[in-house]
Amino acid sequence: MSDSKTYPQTPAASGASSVPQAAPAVRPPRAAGFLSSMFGSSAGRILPVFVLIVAALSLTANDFLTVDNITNVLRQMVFVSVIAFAATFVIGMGGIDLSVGATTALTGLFMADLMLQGVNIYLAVLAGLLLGGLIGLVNGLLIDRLGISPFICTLAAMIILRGVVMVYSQGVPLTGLGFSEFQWFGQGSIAGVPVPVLAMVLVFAVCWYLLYRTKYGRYVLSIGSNREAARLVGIGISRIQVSVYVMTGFAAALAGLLLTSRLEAAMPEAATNYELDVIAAVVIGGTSLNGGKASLAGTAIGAALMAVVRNGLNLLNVNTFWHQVVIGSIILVAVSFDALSARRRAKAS
Amino acid sequence: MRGITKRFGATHALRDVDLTLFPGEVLGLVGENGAGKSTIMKILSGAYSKDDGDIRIRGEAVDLRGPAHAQELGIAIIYQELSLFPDLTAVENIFVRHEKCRGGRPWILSPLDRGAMRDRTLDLLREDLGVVIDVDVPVSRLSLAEKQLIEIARALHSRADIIIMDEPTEALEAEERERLFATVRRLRDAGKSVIYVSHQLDQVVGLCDRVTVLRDGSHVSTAPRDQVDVASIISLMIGGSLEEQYPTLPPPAEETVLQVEDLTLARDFEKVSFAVRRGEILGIAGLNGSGKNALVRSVYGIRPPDEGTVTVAGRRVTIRSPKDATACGLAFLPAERKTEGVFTGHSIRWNLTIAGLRRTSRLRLRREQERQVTDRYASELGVKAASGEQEITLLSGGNQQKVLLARWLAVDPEVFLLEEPTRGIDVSAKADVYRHIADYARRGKSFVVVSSESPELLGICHRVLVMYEGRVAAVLDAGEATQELIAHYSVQRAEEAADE
Amino acid sequence: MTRTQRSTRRTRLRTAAFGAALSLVAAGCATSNQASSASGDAKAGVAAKCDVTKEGNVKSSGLEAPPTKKKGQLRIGFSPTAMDTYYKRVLAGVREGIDAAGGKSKIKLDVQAPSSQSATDDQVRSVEAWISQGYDAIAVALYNENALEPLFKKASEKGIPIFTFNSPVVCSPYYVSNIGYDQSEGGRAQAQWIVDHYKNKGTVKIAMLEGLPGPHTSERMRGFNSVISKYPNLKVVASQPAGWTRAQGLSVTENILTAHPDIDILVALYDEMALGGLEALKARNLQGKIAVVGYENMSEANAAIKKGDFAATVDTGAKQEGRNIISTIEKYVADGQRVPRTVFDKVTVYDKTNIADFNPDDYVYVPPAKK
Repeated sequence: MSDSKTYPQTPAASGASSVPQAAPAVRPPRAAGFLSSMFGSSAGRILPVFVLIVAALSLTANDFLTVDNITNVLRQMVFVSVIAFAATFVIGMGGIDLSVGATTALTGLFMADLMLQGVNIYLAVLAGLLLGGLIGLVNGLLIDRLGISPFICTLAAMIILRGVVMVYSQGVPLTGLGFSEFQWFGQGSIAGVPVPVLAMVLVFAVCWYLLYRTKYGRYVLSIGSNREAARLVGIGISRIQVSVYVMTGFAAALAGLLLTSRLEAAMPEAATNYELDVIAAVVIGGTSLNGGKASLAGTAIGAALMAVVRNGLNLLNVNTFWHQVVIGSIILVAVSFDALSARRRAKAS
Repeated sequence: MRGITKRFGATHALRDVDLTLFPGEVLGLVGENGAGKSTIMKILSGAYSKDDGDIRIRGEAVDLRGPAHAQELGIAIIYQELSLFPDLTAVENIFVRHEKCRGGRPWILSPLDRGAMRDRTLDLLREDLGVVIDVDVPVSRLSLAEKQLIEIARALHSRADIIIMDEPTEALEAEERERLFATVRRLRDAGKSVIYVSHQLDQVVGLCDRVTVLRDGSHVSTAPRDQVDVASIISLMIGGSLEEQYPTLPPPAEETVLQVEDLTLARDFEKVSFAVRRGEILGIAGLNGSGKNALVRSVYGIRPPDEGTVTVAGRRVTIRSPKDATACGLAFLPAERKTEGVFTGHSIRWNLTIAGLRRTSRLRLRREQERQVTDRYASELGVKAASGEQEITLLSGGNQQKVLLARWLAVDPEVFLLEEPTRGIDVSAKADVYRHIADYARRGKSFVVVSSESPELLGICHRVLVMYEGRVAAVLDAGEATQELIAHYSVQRAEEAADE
Repeated sequence: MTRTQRSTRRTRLRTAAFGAALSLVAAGCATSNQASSASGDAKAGVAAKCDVTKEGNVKSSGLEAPPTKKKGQLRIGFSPTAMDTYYKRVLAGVREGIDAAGGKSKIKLDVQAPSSQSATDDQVRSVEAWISQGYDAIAVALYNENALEPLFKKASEKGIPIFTFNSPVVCSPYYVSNIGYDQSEGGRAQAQWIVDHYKNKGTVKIAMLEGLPGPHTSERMRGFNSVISKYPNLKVVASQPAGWTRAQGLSVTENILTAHPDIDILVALYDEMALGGLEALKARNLQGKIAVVGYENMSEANAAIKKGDFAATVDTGAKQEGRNIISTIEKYVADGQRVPRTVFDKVTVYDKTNIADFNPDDYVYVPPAKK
């Protein structure tokens, strides 16, 4: 088309129809580039909903915007967030992991059991984290080598692992975990910031770096965008795919560590429905279930949104029966808002 | 159609275009990408609304309210991307939304009259199109040509008398193409009007009664067939004369870069050997199913060969995956740009640098370097875009193809395996692609070009290897090769030909 | 206007404003209207429909399977709503009951717990299997009072007596006996303990952790409110669901403490939630300063009372419930005697004054040899 800009052409190569243009090609300003890579375009869309709800809550609940309460919300969103950050990779790759909640429960239980049997605290923690990675590895290998659909594979894993949790625990929580080294993970703080919150920030930073600043992240999203094309440009899909599931398994185990330490008990029914909360957080954040695009900051906002709503319901002492209705509606509204503004944007361009 | 104008934002996609279609004629519609061909067809089929101008059908002014309304008025469009449901049968596809039901007033739960629908389908295909197609299997199992015939049957079933075909022969082999032309002529003789949109100018000239040329959203000329030829249409399309479409080829060096010996892949090809020298462009011709695509894909490790050896730059290599192939200095440009080439939703930069990332040993991405590489190759190949950050699917096919080519140029491999490198791109982009291939051949790169367009192979290849039923039928030098010879060997083996 | 009314008004206003903000989003959802307590209206409806909670009041319908005088080994199916600490204790009682009845040669027990509390369909499957295998008696804990009704009917028609346990509201005409304790009595006991210790202490602010909505929650809340509402100085300032779990007990308590940092008492309808709440208190160094009143007398709660972290908890006689199940079944199936429609055991409140009286043996199965 006549008004489209053209890359500067070498005199020899300039075709008859190209419009000569001063070099170099127009580039978006740096700040915008940073913001868009930080939030992704879709996270930018979910932000207004989040701000609106935060504003509504700070007007209605006096205690909402206090340091104390914000710390609470941060602490409460840690468990889902940590998993959701890793799950952003899986979903961005076009996969899904439904086994994370069960992995969280099982690894927490495993760590607790080892500690109660007198294993060194740090060894027990390490073993639990490795177990999470191992569960992810098995998931990943089954999905990759046998070509099972990730949904079915991790669904089966979820059911099996929940069963293993019941067999392992006999339905009874493991308690008596008052070891101070262990308590530190879930209850300690560094310079006034709770350790779990620091862990969440750290996981976010690592994931952000991996996703946006490394070849690894580029490959993960390329696989999600067009798996066949990714294979044809020579990306080793198998290893990346498996590694992503290892990552979610590991993150689930990390959540298991933080949760168990926070409660000083490993509960068989811990982390029930976490997989759904995780998917909700990732999708609210603007990552497409079809893969290809992922927004880590969006995921963080998604997780925060759900934590904030639950917190708000408690602060306002909203009738029990309404809780689920409100949470579900807010998820729906958040994604509708996102879809609508995406459509408006598409129309405008 | 008179004075049709369409704006997208500040851009005039169409400016005051007139178009007349008579009953019982085939009108060719040509123009470069972005000339407005698709836009005017979308307006006629109700997918877009016009900003100005009027449309009269059979003398009556109409205001198209949408695709359904256009269908009611007897306008059917057959898109480039086939719009069939792959898992449904021919019968089910043809009757979608027009299902015949048993009993009186049909509603959503009425029992379907499957027999009647099947009979009608066979009737349509046999009587109106003169073909026999298995109507009981999912259409995904049919060939492309058969799918297209089913689309046409669908159009006929909805009693369309204006049929728009957008780039219908793009994916067809010579034989299927001829069958399609016969069908179009038959439709014309039955009094239907066909608008035939295509980049294949020789076909347009051969088939159409009149040819309309669009350029930059404006109507340039409409002339009967006997007053135009390919060269004159090209000059009308680009608004000037095109330099030689095919570049002059530099002679290749002596050194062999890619040597393939006795390569076999069960059921696809058997004991295929060939060699490519430094700076050489080797063409591979053959019908669909001759194994020509399977061969390059196998060399590239997509489906590794069962037997045989591959030597790259003097080194025997074992290639079990595309990853291995890239490590050995091979590059591959797939024919299916949309499904196998571009990363939808990502920028030109992303798409252009993705293959090159493997070569940097560092984990960390270096954006500045990526931008430099993108800018360099995009400008070298003349990619038309606002910036390297523009999303790739917003580019025209030709520009997308240039980005995909640049993806591999930036990696600096020894041998390029190209499948249908100019499929679906316009004339000047084609010339650009040819020029860049020749250019890189001059710099010592080697190319294997698989194509179903014989003129293209003759124009840019030093030698053409013709495949037939999984074996090499002949290897022709540029000097001796002709379209007739290629066609000849495509249907029989050299020794059989000699026996005659 | 009293302070109570004012504070309620404020809560409502805030809630209304939040609701208005939400309704931008959640089309017309009326979170604001009944913001005070979860349970009030719902359980009133249930109780009016079918008031079987008064001990001994309920007559048998005649539709249940008749008593029998079976000889030889009895096969009993036993289905709790989940396998957790509470039901383990019940099961310990059941096993002691079996020992008392003559051991495994007399009674063969099959235990099948659903995989999660809400998986009623799992429970349906095991009960169906027992019916088709012609068991001699089936004991079921109900999460939802109506879910198993068709099965009860089928079993009774086949002559298999149905016994329910730890089930707050049972309306079915088909069961023989409901064994357990009065859930509302548990709530009343919690409230009575608060009344005894705080009625003369001026304004006392109470926060409640409810379970998942359902009959257990509503019955306990009903009992609690019936006592506490008579004392205007004892005010429930927040009442929120915490899903019966420790993790939610923790986060909900944190949130409640933000809105109401000045609460005096934290009441939980289950010790698990109370223990989660205790974690929240510990993080703020409030353990022992805010009185925690739990429910169930789990061993951890028991220890917490001894340590001073918990003020009180309600023991619902889980092990005795187990013994009662077996003795009732035995009486009905083997001895051919009629049994009361409701077999309720008493509930006991433990605090630091009497916690030493509790026999830890009551948590576990004690083999006959040890007695």
